[in-house]
Amino acid sequence: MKQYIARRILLAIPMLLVVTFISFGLIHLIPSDPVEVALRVNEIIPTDEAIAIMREELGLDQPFFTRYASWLKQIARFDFGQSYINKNRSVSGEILRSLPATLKLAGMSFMIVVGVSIPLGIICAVYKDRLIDRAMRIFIFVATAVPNYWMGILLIWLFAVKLKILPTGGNQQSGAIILPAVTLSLTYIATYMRLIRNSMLENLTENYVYYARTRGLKEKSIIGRHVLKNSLHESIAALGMSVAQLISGTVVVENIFSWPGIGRLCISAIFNRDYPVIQAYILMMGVLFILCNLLADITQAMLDPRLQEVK
Amino acid sequence: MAETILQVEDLSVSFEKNGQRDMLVQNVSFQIEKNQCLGIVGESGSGKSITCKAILGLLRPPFHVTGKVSFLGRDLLLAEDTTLRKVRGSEIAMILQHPMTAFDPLEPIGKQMTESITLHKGISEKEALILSAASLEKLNIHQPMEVIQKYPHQVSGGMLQRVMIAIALVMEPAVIIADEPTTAVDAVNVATVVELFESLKKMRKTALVFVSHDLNVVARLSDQLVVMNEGSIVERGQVEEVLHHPQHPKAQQLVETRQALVNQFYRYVKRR
Amino acid sequence: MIRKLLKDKVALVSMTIIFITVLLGIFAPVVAPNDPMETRIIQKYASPDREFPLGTDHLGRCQLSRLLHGIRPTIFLSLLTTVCTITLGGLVGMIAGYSKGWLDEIIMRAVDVMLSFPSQVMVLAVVGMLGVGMRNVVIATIAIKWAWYARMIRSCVKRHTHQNYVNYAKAVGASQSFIIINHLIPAVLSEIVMLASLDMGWVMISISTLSFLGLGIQPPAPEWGAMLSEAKNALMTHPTQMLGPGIALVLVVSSFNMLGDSLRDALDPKEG
Repeated sequence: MKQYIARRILLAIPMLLVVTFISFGLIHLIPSDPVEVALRVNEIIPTDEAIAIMREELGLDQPFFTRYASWLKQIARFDFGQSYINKNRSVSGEILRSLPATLKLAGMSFMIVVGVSIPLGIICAVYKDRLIDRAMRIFIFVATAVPNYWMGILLIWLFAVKLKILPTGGNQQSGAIILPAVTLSLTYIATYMRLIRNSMLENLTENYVYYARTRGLKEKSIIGRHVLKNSLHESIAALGMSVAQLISGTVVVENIFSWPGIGRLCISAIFNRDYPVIQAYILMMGVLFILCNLLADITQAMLDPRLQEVK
Repeated sequence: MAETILQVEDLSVSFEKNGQRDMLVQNVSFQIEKNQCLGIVGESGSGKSITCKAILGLLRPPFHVTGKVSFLGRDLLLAEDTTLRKVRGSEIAMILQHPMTAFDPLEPIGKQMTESITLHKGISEKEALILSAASLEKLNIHQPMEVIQKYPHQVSGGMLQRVMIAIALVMEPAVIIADEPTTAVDAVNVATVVELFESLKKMRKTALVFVSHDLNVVARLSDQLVVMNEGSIVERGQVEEVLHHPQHPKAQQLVETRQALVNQFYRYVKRR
Repeated sequence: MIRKLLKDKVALVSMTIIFITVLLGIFAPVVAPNDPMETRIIQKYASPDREFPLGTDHLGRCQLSRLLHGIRPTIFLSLLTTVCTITLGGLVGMIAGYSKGWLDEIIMRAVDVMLSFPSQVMVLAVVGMLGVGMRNVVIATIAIKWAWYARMIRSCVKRHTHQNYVNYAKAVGASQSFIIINHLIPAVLSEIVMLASLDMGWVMISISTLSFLGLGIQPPAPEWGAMLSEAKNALMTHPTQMLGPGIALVLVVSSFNMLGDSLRDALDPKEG
């Protein structure tokens, strides 16, 4: 078990390196010279002298791998440099300021996803092909075809404009989190509901279910105790991944609901060509993705008796 | 005349798909008496396993079951779900093929053994565990407590097969149905399993239904023999009778194959 | 497979919807009642009438005309993206699947790296670096999605190369290019079509989302996502503005999804 976890963590390290490399390398896709961009946004006239000073200041005069190495050292201290737009603001400060709002939104959505999709998935599997299962299949279909930004607008219109029971956006008023969290979770509810439903149906055809039936066990305990445990176990990895996807999926929702998180930070950075912020955003997302994946794998292994002994 | 425990009359099973009806089992009738072993042989797909499932009422739509299954005077096909559940496992026990997949991989063996025992006997978990251990011991498992604590993947298929038999024995059922218990076992262990069932026959005065496609195994254990082909019974009688004077071409074929195999085996042994 | 598809009512309906939408998109200048760019400030937010069947937007532009002209960037760019992605991914996947050895290994590691990032973030990243604009959105989507296709098509090729007809072709001495053109491509093509139609919905939503955020197509060009973004600003006063583009988008996306599902069923030999 310990060996498995250790191996899994070791495997994550090269992935982390690749992620940092991509985040660093992406900056070289910029069609214009980053120095000129930095000068322009700070309203300094790009004379040759100013360019040279800025180049040195940003460390752009050194070779690629030297810069990569020193950049790695920097980010290890959670230092992403200064924002191009606002020279007196550090990127890490900007990120730290907006991250809690995003985490709150993603966490809320995750709870909704887990709290809704698991029970509904179970109900659909138990009452397969009955009315509720068919209704949910239609819901799944619709939820995958409706873009979530449109769903967001529809929800704002219904609950904020028409019924006036929830605020349209921001995060100051109470209940402001409800609409963005629901919008964000809808697509994932559909995905995980289908996942759990199908996994349960698959488990129901397993030999152990048949044997449990021949022993006269109650259907309720077969489903509640054995089938559910097995299919949840199979779905943990996917559920873990959904955390990362929820966090990266906040970009759209934050922009619709004016939620002051890192998704909005990233979009405004893209508009302002604030490359260090974009870079930090990509890096954070990549790292989060790997970490969530790692955590999900480890949890799954811990719960699996087949992996517990050292082989 | 011995006491009849289980009587199957005119059992038919059909399967409906897209408005088409496939007959899987047709007018099957047989009976089992106390302390007897009935062997059911046939090729795979001849409807043996479906028949077993139908007896226990485990087939649901799109399967359609007709006929009569009377067990100690009750018709199981007309019985309510709750009554059926009480019969399953406690009065009619089943032993399946593929022991490796018959257990929930996420729970220790002991918990799964006691699950049905506590339910049927209304005893505590602890008592059920003691009974299970004792039952395992009877089947020549020397450290039953160790097996009980293990997970299904940690023991061999043969061990899990014994666990299944042990669960069946604890409940002291009137009938044990063994559905191809030797199919998933490799050739060396078939002998062990057969021996296990022979001792089972001696140990308990239960009626045994032994289903297999392997005539050799069935012939050793059974008193009566039924040969199935394409969902119907094509031959029935005392084991010796069927073995030596098969009437139906399918039965003849089965016997001939067996003879050929036995001959081949002897030739092989002689050559060595 | 095509015959099977024509029997499927769902597939027929969704193909009809897609076909009509594409035709409307091609002939948008002919079909549209008004110039989609022409602003009439006095007539802003006009209700539907004979001149403007779906009313006008905040600049008095004809909604129906904008919707029809919006088909081009929305669907055609998604189609273009999908075709380019498949060509690139397909080529890489075919090379990897057919070549094996170190080349395969290198390609697959690159694919793994690409897939280790959440695709939404990667698209944002590339657009963020290249700058805002439709061209960059298409490039970003292709740059991210090809890896996904490369993996699928590689495994598809691997599966087919092990099949007997390919071995037979090799055995009779057919050249590599002959095998690839005459056997592998037709076999893999049908699976690619299925994957593509399942993926079209995703690409359409992804591209329109970026336009909605203002990262894709730039105003005043008509595009459904951008139109929804404008409609959002008028949410308080004129909520009906968001209905047209939203419904159109959902209709086309679900048509592609349904078609993809039907194709998958038609390709699946297990089903009917």
